[in-house]
Amino acid sequence: MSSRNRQQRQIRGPQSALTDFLASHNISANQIRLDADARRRAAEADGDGAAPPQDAQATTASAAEPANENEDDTVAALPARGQRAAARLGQERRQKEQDVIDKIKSGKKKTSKRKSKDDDSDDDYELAKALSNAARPPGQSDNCAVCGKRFTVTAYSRNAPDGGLLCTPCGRELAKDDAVPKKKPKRLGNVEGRRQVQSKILDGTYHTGAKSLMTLCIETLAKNIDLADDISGLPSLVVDKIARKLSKHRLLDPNTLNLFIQPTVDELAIYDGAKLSADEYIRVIQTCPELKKLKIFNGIHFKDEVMDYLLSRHIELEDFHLHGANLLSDSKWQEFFQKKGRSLQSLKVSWTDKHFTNAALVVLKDTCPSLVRLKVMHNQSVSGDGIKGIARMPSLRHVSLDLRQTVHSDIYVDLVNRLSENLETLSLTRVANVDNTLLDAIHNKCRRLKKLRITDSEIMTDEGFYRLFTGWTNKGLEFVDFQNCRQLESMQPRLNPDGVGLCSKGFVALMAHSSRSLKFLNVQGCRHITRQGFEEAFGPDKVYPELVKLEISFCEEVTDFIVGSIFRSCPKLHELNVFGCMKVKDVRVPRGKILVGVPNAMGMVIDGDDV
Amino acid sequence: MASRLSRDEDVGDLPPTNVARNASKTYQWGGQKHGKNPATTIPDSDDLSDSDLSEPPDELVSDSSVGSLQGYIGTDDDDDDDDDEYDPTLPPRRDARDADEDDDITGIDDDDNDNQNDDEDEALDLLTVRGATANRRAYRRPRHKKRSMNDRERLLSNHPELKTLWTDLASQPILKAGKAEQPKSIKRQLKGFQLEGLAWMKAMEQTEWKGGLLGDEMGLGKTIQAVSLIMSDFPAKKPTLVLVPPVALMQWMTEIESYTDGTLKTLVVHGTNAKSKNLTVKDIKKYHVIIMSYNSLESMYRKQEKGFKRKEGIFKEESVIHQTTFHRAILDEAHSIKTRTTMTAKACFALKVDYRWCLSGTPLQNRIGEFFSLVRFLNIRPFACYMCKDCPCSNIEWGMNSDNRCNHCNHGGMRHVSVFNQELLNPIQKFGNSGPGKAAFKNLRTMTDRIMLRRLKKDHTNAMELPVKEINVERQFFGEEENDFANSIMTNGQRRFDTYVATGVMLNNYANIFGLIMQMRQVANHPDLILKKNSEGGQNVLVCNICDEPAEDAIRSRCKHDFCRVCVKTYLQSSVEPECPQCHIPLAIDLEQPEMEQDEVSVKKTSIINRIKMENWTSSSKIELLVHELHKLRSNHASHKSIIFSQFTTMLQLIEWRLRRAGITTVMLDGSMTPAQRQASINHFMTNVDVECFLVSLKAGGVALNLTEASRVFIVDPWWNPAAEWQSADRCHRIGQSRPCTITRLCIEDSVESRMVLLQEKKTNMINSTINSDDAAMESLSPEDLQFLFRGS
Repeated sequence: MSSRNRQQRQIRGPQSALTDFLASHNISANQIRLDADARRRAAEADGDGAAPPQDAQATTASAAEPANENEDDTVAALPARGQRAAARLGQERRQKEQDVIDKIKSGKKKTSKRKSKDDDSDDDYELAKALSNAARPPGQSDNCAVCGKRFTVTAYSRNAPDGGLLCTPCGRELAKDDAVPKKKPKRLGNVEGRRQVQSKILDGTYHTGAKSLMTLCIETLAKNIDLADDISGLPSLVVDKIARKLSKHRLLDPNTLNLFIQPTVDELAIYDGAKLSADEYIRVIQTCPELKKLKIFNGIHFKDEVMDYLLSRHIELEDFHLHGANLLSDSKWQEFFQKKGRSLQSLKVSWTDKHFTNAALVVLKDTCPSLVRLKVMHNQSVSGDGIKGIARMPSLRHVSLDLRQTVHSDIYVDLVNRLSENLETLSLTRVANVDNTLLDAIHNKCRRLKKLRITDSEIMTDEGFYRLFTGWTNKGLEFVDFQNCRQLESMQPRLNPDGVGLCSKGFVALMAHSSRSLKFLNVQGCRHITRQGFEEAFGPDKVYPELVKLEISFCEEVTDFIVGSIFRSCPKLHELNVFGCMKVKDVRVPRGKILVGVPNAMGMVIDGDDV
Repeated sequence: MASRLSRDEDVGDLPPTNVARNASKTYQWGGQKHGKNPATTIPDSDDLSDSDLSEPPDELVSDSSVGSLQGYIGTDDDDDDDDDEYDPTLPPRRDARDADEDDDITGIDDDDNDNQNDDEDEALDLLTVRGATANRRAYRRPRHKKRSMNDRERLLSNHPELKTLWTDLASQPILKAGKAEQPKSIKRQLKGFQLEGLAWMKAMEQTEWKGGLLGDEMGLGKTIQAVSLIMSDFPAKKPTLVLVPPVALMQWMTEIESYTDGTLKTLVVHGTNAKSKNLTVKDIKKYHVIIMSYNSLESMYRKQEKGFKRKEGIFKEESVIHQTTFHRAILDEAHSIKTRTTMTAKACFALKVDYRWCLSGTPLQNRIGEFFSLVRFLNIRPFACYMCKDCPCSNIEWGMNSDNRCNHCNHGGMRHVSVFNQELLNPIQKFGNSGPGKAAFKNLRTMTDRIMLRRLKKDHTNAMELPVKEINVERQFFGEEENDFANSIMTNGQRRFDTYVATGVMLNNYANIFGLIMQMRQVANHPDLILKKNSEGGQNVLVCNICDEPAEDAIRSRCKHDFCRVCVKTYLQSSVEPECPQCHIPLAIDLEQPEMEQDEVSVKKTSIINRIKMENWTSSSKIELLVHELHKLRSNHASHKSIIFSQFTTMLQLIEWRLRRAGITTVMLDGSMTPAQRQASINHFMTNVDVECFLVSLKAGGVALNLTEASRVFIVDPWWNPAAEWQSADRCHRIGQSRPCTITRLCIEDSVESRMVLLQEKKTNMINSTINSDDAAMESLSPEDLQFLFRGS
């Protein structure tokens, strides 16, 4: 280099005519180059500490010169005016050079993309390469300046805007919008959060905005329940909420149970008795002599000995709900009714295996004169004889049955005929072989019915449902559940010549009859309700002012349009279930409504935010 | 049938004596009804000429169709096999097939993985083979009765004990041992019937058979009874060997530890356990209990018997386990050796053991022939023996030298008959439940009464304090588009099926037929199972295991799960001891690794989720049915945990993704996981309240799991074999469960599934009539069953 400085007047070798010319005007190309190097080093100082190797610099130098020569043709025309002018020119030059580099860089982008060098940009390319790629020789691995990943440095690796090298993806990103630094990969907040939100919507407990203070407190308490000593001062509603929360977290055990059993309580709900033993139940009965309402879920250890103890105490239960106590024998049940039946108003028994039998139900009529509500669910033993027993209890207003034994329609008809006067709730779950005669009986007799559930009937026909709801003098129903009342036929599933199940006609009649009062409707799986049926029921002139929850899953004919119509017709609607409605694809959900079960990848629940 | 005829013609050219032989050979085809081809493995009722052995005497299956079926299994049936112990240095597992003794469908069992319940195998046994033999029977009945009579007489003269075999057995009283005392070294209080079981087991060890079969229904605590038995004569001089399915390795280990407080020194022999490397007999003797999986044992035995290929040739390595003499061998889920020609079964037979025990909740899954394998393992003489018709030679092995002559008496191999087949199998197959068949049934029960103790849950609910179990079938129908798709496959399949029937080559093409059925079953789950089998047309992007979106900047953890770099970074920061969100072992991941290449090839190997196009994806009726059921379970006062079984891992992946998108937290268990991963996943499910669903591949987790935290079981696709379904249902309905259990079988009514459910019921009848000492009508499946699947009539 020094030799070049000395031989200023001779043009030869690597020294170009331009350099020579500039030198004659007291402008040093070397100086320009050194300046450029210094700037670059300053920029790289904080990035990658490693100094560029010497030979790289040499190539930079040799490469820089022809580039200068090339680009500065116009500048060269300027006359030289002494030192100051030269200095000013130098500055302009630097400015120019920077611009050119920028230009080159963008040019390089093209070349690197195309991987072919144009002849005219050849020099530019080399310069750019020299300027930008001095840090690492190709073939070595480095960490990317932006994303921090390891990558292999190639001749095409790019400089980061603030020093260091970029991996190929980041470089490509940078190339896209050159000046703009690579934006962070998008990710909205906490991803675990999304699943949790979905989960809450699924629970129906999702609220936008902050939770109420009470909810927060209950949640905190449930989380730290082992620290709580006493919750006796709290209102019963709150205690119930805590109990629910605990059971949901499966935290109810002999220790936490103590919080709920106080001598003064008259209402106790054990939502998950799975971890409690017979001794705990005895303790409950011991400590709560005032008990009126007792509700136990998963109470497998509520055995004969517990019942014996209960019978020996002066507890007069009014409301007894026992779930999953299948070790309690039938004779104990009968004994219970005989001794404690007088005060009993509500009895719910579920999951009892074969131990809650017809005999127990027959005993009921003589022993529980004030019984209003009776619910026997998931029972494998009760059959027609037991129902005949129920039919002779005129006090009953609410009857819910879910029996695994097949019972003939006539017995249900008899039940309806005898109890119809007071009957408000009739719930018959999984009655596959019950036919239209039951519907006709309801039509003829029932005048006070509010809740009607008949599910899984394979025989009832559309005509039967139509007859039921046409000209029925009963007031509008509030709760209707006809799920899976449909034809079960595997050979010709699409045809339904006999109109088996709830189809369009019956559906329209139902909606017309109960339009004012209906709050809850479930027609899941009634797959022969046609599009026209839905469109008629939810037409522009129809309003269902009270409807809150609607379940139309597995109704094939439901389309986006029908879902839209439903939202229009049901101002109070909170939740609409459309599982398995394959024709629902892309619906706009109004604000405050929830659409559950759209069969795509959107997430299960769409919470409306459309106005 | 055409092939059958041609065979007869072939033989017709032979000298007259051979014709006679052939006649009796046809007689013997009845033996095949039970699928595992006793005709070739065991010379039961007659004398196949030696020359016949050289060619596969079974024309049910042409080699090519086996091959194609095998390929079929490899690709379509998903990777449920527990191949965690697969040794790449070994030749592919076709050994059993290579031997010419094994040329029918049993080969499939081996290839896939012999201790798995092989779906295809069973279905085929069930349908085709039975159908075939049922038809064949018509051909052969009356001829040459005399000849077989003569044979019988000779046999009896050489083995007079056979005459009084059953009366002798019946005169032995059924062992009633009363109740044992609670063993002091067992920390848990045993229930009454468990103590009875223990006493019975101890008493059985004193009898000549030195062991037996504990056939208690699932969930009655077979494990604790077995552990108590081990403790009953602790410390024994020699160790005890426990063989289990891979999924239960860790569970046995922990149960032994918790019951005995670590008194027993236990070793888990598994490829991933460093201690089990380079074991010597001496090492083994230091332990009290050795636990290993059937697969490991099979692999060791194979190395010893067949050797393994290296560059320099075939090496053989002596199996340490087979060198060691054990005090006691316990086969958990003993139906794993139900096919006695498999290497696994042979490996078990070859063990040197003083006392032998089988534990199985479902000792009989498909055929009565399966029972033979257990009898053989238990060395129940003389029932497991082969007897020579020409001399008093009687041996447990049917060993032949190179001339196909018996190693002992040097009479022709085919002159030996299996007592079990002769006395039990053949009459039952030939006559069903009437005449001699009925007598054989009675005899079978006489035998099972004496070697097996079986208690049913329904008899002990009160003692076990078991909650109620309810089994439901949820039925739904296809949506319109799905229906079109299913119909196109169905009609296509039906046409081909009809062609096969018309040309009389149905049985030659069973692999194809089976392929059709398989497709129809997959369609019922989700069309993507067929459409997205390959990566074409999908989005082919890796999906992050944390956010369930296409992974941005995908990186992979050591346990081979993919994440967005950002997701996993935040995830790592948010917890102290991060575990993999997918398999729940401690998470090890290099955050600075280069982004993963997302090419089609690499994506194809991973989950089906990576192959679908998310934005256009539509669910299926089956999946929605499941999601809807789960949605209904949501309640503000209870959290229900569910186990979801499917036999297609792709289906599980789809379900998992759908559920996660829907806000339901899930855990998955499939055959590709290591024991540590399995255990971690199980623990995660059992201890974490928020985890609602446990997705389990039926083959990998259908047995031996104890998941009492769950109270719901969903069986996504019906299974050929009802016993496998009961097994899976009983993962949660077992001792320790305190919530009512619901088993829900999901069924698409207008698909092939509704018919499979009906077929299952037929099978159930067979099982009930033998094992459960129930005289329900013994119904055998007819060839019409296959047609029923297609035509529904």
